[in-house]
Amino acid sequence: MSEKKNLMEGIGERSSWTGITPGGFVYGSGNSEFFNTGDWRTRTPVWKPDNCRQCLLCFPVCPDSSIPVSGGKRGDFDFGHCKGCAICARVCPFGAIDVVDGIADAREAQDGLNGREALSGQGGQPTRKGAAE
Amino acid sequence: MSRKDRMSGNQAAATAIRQINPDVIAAFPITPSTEIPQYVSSFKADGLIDTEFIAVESEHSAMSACIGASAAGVRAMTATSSAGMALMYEMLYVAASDRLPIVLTAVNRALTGPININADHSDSMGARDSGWIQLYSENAQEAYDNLLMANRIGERRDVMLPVMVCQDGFITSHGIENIIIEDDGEVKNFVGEYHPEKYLLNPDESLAVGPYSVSPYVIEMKRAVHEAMVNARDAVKEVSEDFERTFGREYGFFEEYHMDDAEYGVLLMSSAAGTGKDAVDALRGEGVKAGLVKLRMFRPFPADELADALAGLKALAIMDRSDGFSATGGPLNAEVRAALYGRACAGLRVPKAAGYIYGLGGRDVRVEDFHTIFGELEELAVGKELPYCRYLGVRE
Repeated sequence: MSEKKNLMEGIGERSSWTGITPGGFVYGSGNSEFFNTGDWRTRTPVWKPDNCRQCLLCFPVCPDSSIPVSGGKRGDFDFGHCKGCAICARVCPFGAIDVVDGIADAREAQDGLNGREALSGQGGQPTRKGAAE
Repeated sequence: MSRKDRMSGNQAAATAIRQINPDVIAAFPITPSTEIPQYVSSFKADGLIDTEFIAVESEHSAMSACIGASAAGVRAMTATSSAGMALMYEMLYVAASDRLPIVLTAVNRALTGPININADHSDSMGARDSGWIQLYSENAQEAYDNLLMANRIGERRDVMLPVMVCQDGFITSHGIENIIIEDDGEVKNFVGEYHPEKYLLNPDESLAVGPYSVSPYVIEMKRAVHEAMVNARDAVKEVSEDFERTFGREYGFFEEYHMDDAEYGVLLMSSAAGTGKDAVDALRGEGVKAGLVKLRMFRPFPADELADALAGLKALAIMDRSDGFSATGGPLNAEVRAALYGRACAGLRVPKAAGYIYGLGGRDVRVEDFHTIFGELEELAVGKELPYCRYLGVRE
């Protein structure tokens, strides 16, 4: 997602009291992108590329920058921070975004729709299955 | 060259601040500490210091500004008393948790209820669990000396905690005493410069200070403050020893007065120790083996060392200048007894003890009051029962 170095790498909820920073300081800036909050969501948007006309109405309304745009085209959701608010689905004029309940269901739905591991590769995020259970 | 002078405790504290020349002072006036920022602002106006003086709108803001300045990477100091300190309470905890070695010169005054402007320790005792190092001073000289040591103690890399230097309101803060003031240059050398490892105004390393901590982190952060407070014992010792080598005045965790062969002893903090010493001198003249322990370092609490120092007594009076309203006495009474409990459990000898609450709201404690206490200690030693804690000098 980013080439920025995470200066808090290795410091987490399993760190001992000697392993956290003095005063709880957070080293580096703009590092909220390293904190994956996607597992908070209870609903998941599913992108249907066949219906998508690349009008790009969806990405500016996303509160969590979860719709990556490159070369003037949107790609699949970045689920690392998506809370499932579904504003993107509401603004889509072409029915290219479905919203399904849960996280694991979404994965299955998306696997079925797109035939690929749409939710994989979110480093540091608990497994979708584990989170849903 | 050091020089002899005469000044009040407030002047002594302000002189120490002038010599330390901190980067930032943020303060709000409150009796009896008002003079300290007042003198400091005069020093600033006269060009004697290049401190940034922030005239804030409250003590909450004073401590907040100190936190911001300290997080930015500079030395920050403030002064307060009583309700002013109470208004700082929220931010006192933040300063300690953020590991910012701010120095506060506290002039102890009764915490309001009823409103009163005179000396007792209820203000700083309310901050005793905040994570601040606390040093208590008997007189202007000690207030000055403790302040010269405070920055270095708090700034030691394995400590990084704020430090509170306390003196008694009016009795010390406004009483003019003889004092030795050290040379400006020697003080500057002793205090040294402050170079924090991490700080907000470092253009090469961005940083966030004081972030929200979810429950998987809070207990680890408190554990780290606990360890820093353990390390502060060694820092106080190290800096005090260097102070003695440099300026010749000796400071331990506490002062023992005629304790070598003492059978009856009183333990207390700050200005009343001077009165107590006078009573000890008189009793020694009568052949009574009286002694006194004046606690300088209340946080961290030197439990083992105190227990050892008190162990030889037959009877001990523990004197609190505040009531914790636990219905069992003040905080010193509780903590000193807890320190002795370890010895008792190990089967070692401990003195009988009686707690006293004295001097609230500036009530005088006189030499005769100490004679009363020592008289009661002699009775306690031979088996008479005394209350776990009682009010001294209260009208019955």
